[in-house]
Amino acid sequence: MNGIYSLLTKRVRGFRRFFEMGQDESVSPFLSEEGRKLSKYLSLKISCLSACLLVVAFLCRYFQCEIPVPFLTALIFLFVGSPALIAALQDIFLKKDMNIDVLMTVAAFGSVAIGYPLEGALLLVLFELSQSLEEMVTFRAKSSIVSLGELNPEKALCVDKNGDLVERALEDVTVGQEVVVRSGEVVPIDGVIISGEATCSLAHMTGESRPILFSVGGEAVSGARVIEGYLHVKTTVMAEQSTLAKLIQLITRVHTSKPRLSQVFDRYGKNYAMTIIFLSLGILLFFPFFFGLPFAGELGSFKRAMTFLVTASPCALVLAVPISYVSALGAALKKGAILKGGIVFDQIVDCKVIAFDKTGTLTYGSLEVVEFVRLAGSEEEHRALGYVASLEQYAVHPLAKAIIGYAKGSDVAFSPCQSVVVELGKGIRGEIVDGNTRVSVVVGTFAYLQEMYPGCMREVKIVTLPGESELFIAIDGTSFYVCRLRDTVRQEGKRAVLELQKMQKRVILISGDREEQVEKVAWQLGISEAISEASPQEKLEKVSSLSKEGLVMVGDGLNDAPALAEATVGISMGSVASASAREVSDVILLHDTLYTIPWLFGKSKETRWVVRQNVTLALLAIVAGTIPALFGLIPVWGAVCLHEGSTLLVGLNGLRLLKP
Amino acid sequence: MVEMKKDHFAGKTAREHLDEMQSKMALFSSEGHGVEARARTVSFLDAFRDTILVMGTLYFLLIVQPFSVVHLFFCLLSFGLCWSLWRGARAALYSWSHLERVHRLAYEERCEIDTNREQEREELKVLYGAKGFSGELLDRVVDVLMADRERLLSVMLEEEMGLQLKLVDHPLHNAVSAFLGALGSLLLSLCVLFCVPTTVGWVLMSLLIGLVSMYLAHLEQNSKIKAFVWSTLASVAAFQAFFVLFELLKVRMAS
Repeated sequence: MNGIYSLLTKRVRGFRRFFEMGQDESVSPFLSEEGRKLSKYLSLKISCLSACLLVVAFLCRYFQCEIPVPFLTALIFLFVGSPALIAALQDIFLKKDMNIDVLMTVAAFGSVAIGYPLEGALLLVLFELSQSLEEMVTFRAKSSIVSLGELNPEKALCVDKNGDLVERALEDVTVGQEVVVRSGEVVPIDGVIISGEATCSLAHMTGESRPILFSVGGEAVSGARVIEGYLHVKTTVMAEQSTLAKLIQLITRVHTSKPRLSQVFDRYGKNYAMTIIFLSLGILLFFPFFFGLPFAGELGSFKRAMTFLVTASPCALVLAVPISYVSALGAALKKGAILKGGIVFDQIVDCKVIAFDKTGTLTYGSLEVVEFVRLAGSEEEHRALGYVASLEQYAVHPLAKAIIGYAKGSDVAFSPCQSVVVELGKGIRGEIVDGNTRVSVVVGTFAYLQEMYPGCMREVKIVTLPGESELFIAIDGTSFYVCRLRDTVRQEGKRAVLELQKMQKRVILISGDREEQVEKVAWQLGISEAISEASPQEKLEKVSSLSKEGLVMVGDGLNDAPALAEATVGISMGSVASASAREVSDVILLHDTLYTIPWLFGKSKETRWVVRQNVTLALLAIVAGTIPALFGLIPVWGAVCLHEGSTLLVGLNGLRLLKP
Repeated sequence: MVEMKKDHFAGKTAREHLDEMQSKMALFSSEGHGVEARARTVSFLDAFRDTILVMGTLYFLLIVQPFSVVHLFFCLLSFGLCWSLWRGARAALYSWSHLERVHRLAYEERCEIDTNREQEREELKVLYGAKGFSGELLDRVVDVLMADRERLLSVMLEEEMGLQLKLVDHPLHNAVSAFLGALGSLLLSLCVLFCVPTTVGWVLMSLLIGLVSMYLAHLEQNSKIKAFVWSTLASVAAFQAFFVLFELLKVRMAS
């Protein structure tokens, strides 16, 4: 049944991503692959093409070959003027809003009226270039985020009255419904386990890499991923009331993507635009009566009004802010950090406190073998490691992955296995075929080995160090080994913490892990303030109180997501972070490099400085241009040059921030 | 009469056969509002064909004016460039208009699915009840479709809205194809018109139109002879209509 319907609709896929990306054409499910590639960053491509046409037009004018200039100008107005004009008309007629963008568009088209179409085209190209650069950075940030929906299951495998398994949307699953969760699947709704057993991972929720055994009578928490086994669960809540749904509700928030200065311009832009337009109209209509000027002609009120409009249009001001932030965002991307918007720079620069999660943030988040030691017997350790790694290839377990990685790094030989049996929550056993001999191998917990070989290792004293996991191994029931695994601290962590402390930032470690483990990591990295055994709710409360001073929170797991959303700036580790952490954080570190964080603080400060320079320059140009233009003290071409010159200068100054 | 093949699937599985048929159908089906919304090849050929008629008519109009050959050539070239640009822009506008429409319909349907699940379920029951499903089988079909949001949206767009869900070329691809088609036709037309006598010229132009239509019919696996004949004679009639009216005008002006 499913096969037929997927066939019928197979060519049109990807609706969810399409709607999540705001119905962007580059992810339209109706366009061919080639078409989507062409649509990607289309406005930027068109702006660049228009810029090339503009250069050609200016060169033609410079070499006094005027014939192609009107055609080239018309093309430029078509490519970049159309979007600006459409936006302006929508603002005026649909939103009833007169803003700076409308003023700029009027100025650009008004330039044509005063005989300077190419200058108007230049305005439009610069404007569209900065808009499309901003769109590109935002699109990149959006598309790098894995949708929360991919973590949150949308379907559940329900048991119907005949005992058949039927897939249902989560919204259609009722309380008391029986649901089956198989290996590799995520528990969709909270419930009670009525049959089955499974080892589950809650790593993305709690940050803990060790799997937990779920068995009959216990509670199945939504969001837990089944590693091995299956669960037959009777739901106790509706989907929207499950643990996972509540956690997601906590972390959903809307970003204001515009920097503070842009928000100020938006607020006052309307008044400014209305004022300039009315002043221009006043010059046009009343100057002839009061000053005896003609309407038309070089000295006429029309030309003077349009000159005033062009010089007063805040193109440099409009460009000053976005070009700076976009360049800084580009530099951050080169450094491997995706920022969700320019406002993040504004927010970071004022933050005095930075809080780190432990597992997956300051540590690698996955277990590594630190020791493989023989406890008793005569079998050589290197060969024993090979037997263990060969057997662990049949297990789906984070500990197995760590051992196999360690074995490959130690150049051991792998051998074929047979009669492999996996015992959930206990271990794995099987026979290794080593040439003509069969070697019996058992790997698992201490209790499991005692069960398989009663009385073994009685004389051995086991000391478990904090933060370590252990696996015990028996070879042919005669040689015994222990394998210790631990989550190790990131190498660059200490350097990053030191640099932040030099910047007079208060560095804190907040974790849900045990006290001794948290203290150990804090000591290794030189962090003096550490909070341990904090639940997601407690983390959130602590972060809320620290946010008043300006807090940067760095985390990775779903348990960090509420804190990341609440902090002034949330930073997530790109490759290990859960989808929800990436979704709510303001910054994603693509390569998980902690030393990017001190760099971000420095870049934010530099960006603020450049923005201030640009705004000052733009305001000076407006004042220097409009007053003489009002009194006819400068010619039209002079006013336009001043206007264009300041715009270019501001653009070039902003582009300095592109350097990482 | 179509001969029924003994092995309908020609050695393929049913699924492979359906795949192939759907791919073929996707290439040749058209949207209701015009040629420009189809594949870029059709955009190219359509613009090519129309430009022949337009350039031919303009040539015959201007040839009687006291223009030099060079002057006439540049007049036609200028007009042809303008026409080519317009055909390209028009193709893009049509395609974008279609895309905007399907995006809007998809968004509206998605909102309906999110807010009125029970009503969507009832609609599905009616739709598939009409196809012959009933009882427990109908409930199972509806459950399967309701379980997957993407699948549900695709099915509702096809069944309820009657949309053909197929991948289309980007509007700019269609625009470039139309522009190149018109431009190619312009250059070919100029070569033909300036190298042959007028009396032969319009016949050649009509034949060219017929040949293009024949090729289009070949792509669509329709009758090539029918396409050639109809198109050629239609363009002959169009040219003749022009000549007749033009002669009447000349007579009127002379008197």
